Amino acid sequence: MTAYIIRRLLYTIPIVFGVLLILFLIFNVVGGNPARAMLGKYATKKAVRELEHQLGLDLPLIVNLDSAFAGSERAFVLATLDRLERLGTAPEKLVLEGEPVKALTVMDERPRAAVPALIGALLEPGAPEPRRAWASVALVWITGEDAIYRPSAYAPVREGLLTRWRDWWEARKTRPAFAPSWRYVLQSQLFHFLWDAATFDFGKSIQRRQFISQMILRGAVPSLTVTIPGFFLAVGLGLGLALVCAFYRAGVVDRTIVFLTVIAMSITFLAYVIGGQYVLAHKLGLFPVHGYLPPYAKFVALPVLIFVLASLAPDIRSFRTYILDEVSQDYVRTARAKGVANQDVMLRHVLKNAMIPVITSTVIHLPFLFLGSLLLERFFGIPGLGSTMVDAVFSADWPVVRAFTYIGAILYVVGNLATDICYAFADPRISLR
Amino acid sequence: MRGSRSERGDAGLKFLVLLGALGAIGAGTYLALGRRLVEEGGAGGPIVRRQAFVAQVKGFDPALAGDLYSGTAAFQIYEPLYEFHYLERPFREIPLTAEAMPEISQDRLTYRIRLKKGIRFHDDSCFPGGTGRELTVHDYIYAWKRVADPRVQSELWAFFQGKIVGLDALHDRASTSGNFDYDAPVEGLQAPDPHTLVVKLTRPSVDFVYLLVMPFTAAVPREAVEHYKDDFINHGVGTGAYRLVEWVPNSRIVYEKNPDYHDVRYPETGAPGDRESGLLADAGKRVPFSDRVEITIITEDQPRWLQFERGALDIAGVPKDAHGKAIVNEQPAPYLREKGVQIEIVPELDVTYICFNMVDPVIGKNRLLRRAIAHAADLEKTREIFFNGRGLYAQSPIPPGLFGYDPNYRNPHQEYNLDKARKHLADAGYPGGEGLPEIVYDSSGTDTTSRQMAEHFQENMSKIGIKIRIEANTWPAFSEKINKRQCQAWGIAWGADYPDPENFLQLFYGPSSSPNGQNGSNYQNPEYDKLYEEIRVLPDGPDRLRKIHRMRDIIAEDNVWVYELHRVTYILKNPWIRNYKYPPFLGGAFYKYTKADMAERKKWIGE
Repeated sequence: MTAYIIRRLLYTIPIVFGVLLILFLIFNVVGGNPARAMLGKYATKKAVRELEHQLGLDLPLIVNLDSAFAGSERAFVLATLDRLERLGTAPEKLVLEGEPVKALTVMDERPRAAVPALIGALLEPGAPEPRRAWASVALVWITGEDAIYRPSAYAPVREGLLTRWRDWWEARKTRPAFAPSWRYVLQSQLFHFLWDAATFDFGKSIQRRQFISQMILRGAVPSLTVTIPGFFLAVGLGLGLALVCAFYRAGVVDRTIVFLTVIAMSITFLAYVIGGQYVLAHKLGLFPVHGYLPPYAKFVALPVLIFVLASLAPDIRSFRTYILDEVSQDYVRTARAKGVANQDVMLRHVLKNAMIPVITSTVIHLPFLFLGSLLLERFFGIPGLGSTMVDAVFSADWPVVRAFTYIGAILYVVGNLATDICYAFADPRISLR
Repeated sequence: MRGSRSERGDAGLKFLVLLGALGAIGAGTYLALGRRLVEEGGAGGPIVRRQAFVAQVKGFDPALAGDLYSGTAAFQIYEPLYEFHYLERPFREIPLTAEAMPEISQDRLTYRIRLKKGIRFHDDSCFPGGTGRELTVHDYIYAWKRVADPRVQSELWAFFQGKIVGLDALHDRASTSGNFDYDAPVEGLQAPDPHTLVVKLTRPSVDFVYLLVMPFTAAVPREAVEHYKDDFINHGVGTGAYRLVEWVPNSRIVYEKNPDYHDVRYPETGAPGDRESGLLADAGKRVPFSDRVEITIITEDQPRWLQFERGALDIAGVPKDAHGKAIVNEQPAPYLREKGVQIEIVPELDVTYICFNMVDPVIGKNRLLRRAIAHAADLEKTREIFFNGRGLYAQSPIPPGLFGYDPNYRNPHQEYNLDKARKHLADAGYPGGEGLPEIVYDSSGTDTTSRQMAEHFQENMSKIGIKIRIEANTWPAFSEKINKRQCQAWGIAWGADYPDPENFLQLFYGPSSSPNGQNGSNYQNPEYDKLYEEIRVLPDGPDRLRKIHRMRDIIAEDNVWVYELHRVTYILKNPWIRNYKYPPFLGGAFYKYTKADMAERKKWIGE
């Protein structure tokens, strides 16, 4: 059993890894721009670039080959500066915002972001043409893309692919050969993302500016105060009523309950929430209308009640089917033929065997309870995770959505495992190996 | 095989009875717990103000308080140098922590601001000994540097950018090096003594003085930021009238009166009608009046409305779907009036509009086509369907209440007239829409209302033969598209950041075209740009007015936008709320002026 659990847990690693790769593809490769979302109506090109740098979104996607060549890049820049010196511009005279260009040490940390700014200083409009050409060559070579900081200054860069290739070729000829530094290969969006996922460091929410891990921890408890009692009450009551139905199959009680469940299932959840809040809380004054304050039981009572009411009907219907499937088995007939009392047949034999499908359909839901119930939380003001998730989706708060999806994936895998383990307890014929 | 019918019936009945009993016990327990549903404050007890926010609050960091609710939340704690006069309209700035309005040099480049003495920060564990120290101008300089710090990631940096001598250089250096040097001197931010701030601007700017009212320019003690570090956003250490005592993200904020609040008085003058409506009853008294302010975040309309009806909230906006039920003939519905509910109808400082991309080869290069569209837009219906029939038809970008708004002006190039529209369309080279390619209308949301608004536009245009294809976007995707100049036409709105027409007229300024700024239409007009640069520095007066009107005419002539509405907000007030006047934008920490008559509330609740 232990070996089985360990093995299953190991299986989760490739599954979660696969989920992560898909998430990366969705959010980092094709997804929207979080920097722009954060800046909202103040998103100027410069501000977006700067924020992308802050968020590490200016790093290469998969591997940071550019930075791997940082050492040689640096040498190349120095060689370029030598060349510029020979062309009549002494490097020490080149200053950027008061700092001499020689301060190329910043390249060690974030080469892609630092170098263009430095080279940019060489590209002032009106500078001698050879100088501008050389600086633009250096820029294209180093960043592999159009200039970042001062668009107007980089006109030579934009002259077309052909020029760029020619520049590149020219540059290649004079570029001293240096060994790449592999230190930076993993400085890419993908590896940062994987590392953050492995350490459960989700960063900050774009919209709320709070740490996502804190948001999750803070929201989980209020969500659970509604879903845990709701879930267990619903399953317990559902199972009980399903047994009653099965026990008195086709009788008045069974038909009444089935009829009621059909009605209950045709009403949308939103109607339960709105109606429950309006009638039970507002009109009858049995519960508070909104809020989440101590004593919390008072404030979660109505949401729990609505949760139970809404999930009871489908539970009864499916549990009833599971039980009836068992009732028609041979062993039940045998037991009855042997004169075992009806109660004993139902409770000792049928219920036990019907537990397997019951477990399958319920345990898998357990981990998701912590994600809460969106509508209940929004309407009753419970600061849980359901509303957090939906707010994030609507405001394109991708880091939050990503974190939730990731956790959801883990929970799903764990839920599956828990289901399998429960089988073993419910049915001695199943042994986990 | 089966038991007899009667036997089963008996047991079933027993079971149902058992279930019923269980249910009754459960309900009883809930009932017992649910007893006191609305907490009371007696006549002699503390004065408690109860307010709802309709959207989430990020926290209290002023540098991040760009949205209305985070701004309001931060405002109660942190104080900028000035605030808007609570009652007077049009809006006028008055000193808050400053001693007087800034002394501005002749060239309008140097601002000298004196700070009141003896203002203290709230007591907090971030200070040595836990006692709040005195506020100095260094706290303002520090706060402004924080906005410029790239690591703080404040979107509000856009307001300071390019304005203060030396601050941009510090920002750019930090962007490159990753480290912001808070101790580096900034030429444009100097403190000759702890109570004098001298600000040097790079160019004269009429909006600078408005920035001194916004929450992000409020004083922040460096001790608090360094003490709470990443969690600073969840704390509040300011000089404001209220101290933060409870903060449950997603749920609620509770403030308590700052016992050491500096001497701030309730205004003695107001707008016409304020005296009659009792808004000047407390003139000259020291604020704050309320002992406690409780804010609940309620994003759904129904619970917010029910809480207002139950008296758990002092005031409420009217939800769109409840409008017909709650408002009758611009008055609260009879059932609300019986309860003493009062109404306040306030024009917002905003404009909704349909924007055209002026660099689009089809729509941007053809003024008559745009004019045809403007004449075919049935705004009356727009107002009826989407704004409950309320709102003022906009004739220009400038909303009423701002300098330069002219109530008698009618935009000659956009009244609803299908004949004119058809004629312009023909003149534009597309008689009956013939030969005109499908035009894409981008909507700013994927929700029902956004879709319906887009469909409404589509239907309007089909009447003159223009085919519209709708593309629905999420807001970030939408703004990205505008920035990349990929849209043709789209519906959007602009709300004032500060009460000056410049804030609206900048939306047509050529150098601010996408992606550099907020001119999403990418409109370019040298004459307009020149005038804009002039009105940006001119003080209000006949010269400025003339230039603003010229600008208004230029953009009307070019049909850059289809102006829709200046929206109107309906506020309902429960009878015990006093001194409440709705501020149409983030103008100051106004809760300190309001109060609740607890005796009256108690009577009302008890009924």
